[in-house]
Amino acid sequence: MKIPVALFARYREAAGRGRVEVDVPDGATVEAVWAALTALHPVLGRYRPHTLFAIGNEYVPPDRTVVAGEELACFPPVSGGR
Amino acid sequence: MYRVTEAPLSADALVDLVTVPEAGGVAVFLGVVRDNTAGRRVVALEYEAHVPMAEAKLKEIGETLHRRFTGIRQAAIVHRVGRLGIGEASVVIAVSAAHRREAFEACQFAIDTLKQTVPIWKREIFEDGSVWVGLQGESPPPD
Repeated sequence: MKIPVALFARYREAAGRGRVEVDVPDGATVEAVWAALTALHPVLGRYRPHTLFAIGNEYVPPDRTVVAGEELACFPPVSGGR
Repeated sequence: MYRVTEAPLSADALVDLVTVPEAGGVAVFLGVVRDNTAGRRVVALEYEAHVPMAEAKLKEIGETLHRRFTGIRQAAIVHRVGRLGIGEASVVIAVSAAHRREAFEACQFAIDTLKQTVPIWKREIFEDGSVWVGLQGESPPPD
């Protein structure tokens, strides 16, 4: 199945685009989508330890199964400050 | 109102929105663009958001305020995106409550939570370069 992936902030800039489509087997997890994404854009690989994932408007864990028709958003931690 | 917008923010508009007859106090927080980061001169900040998710998370914060603090009457949070100059407001939070203590506490809770959960990122633009803010201890990627 083809899963659209939305990238934000430094991820978007590193990949050179805000949207990437990856091809993964049915039943693939968020982690598997990330692996497919970083295969296309290896520059993103180093960010994995900090990466947050979201589907729709909710954060999701890496072991969440992605269903056809869903879009995965990948992004760095939010802006912070104190 | 829980929104992400490219338009300049108006604190007055949010105060008007949350000021209701049952409120005895309105607390307002403005996040504004500071002219330096650890002494390095900042010329502008650029904010980027996952807009639909950010607006949903802002709304969740508002709902949490009503559950967590007693006497909250109205709340509104608006965050700006795009390029902002020094002194411009990036976020405005207004909370009205029956009494001042809850208004202050709810306002602080809202900004602290926003900084942790709402998918908005900022890039600091210096005179001689720029860097995405967020990952503590991470060296910026080579540009």
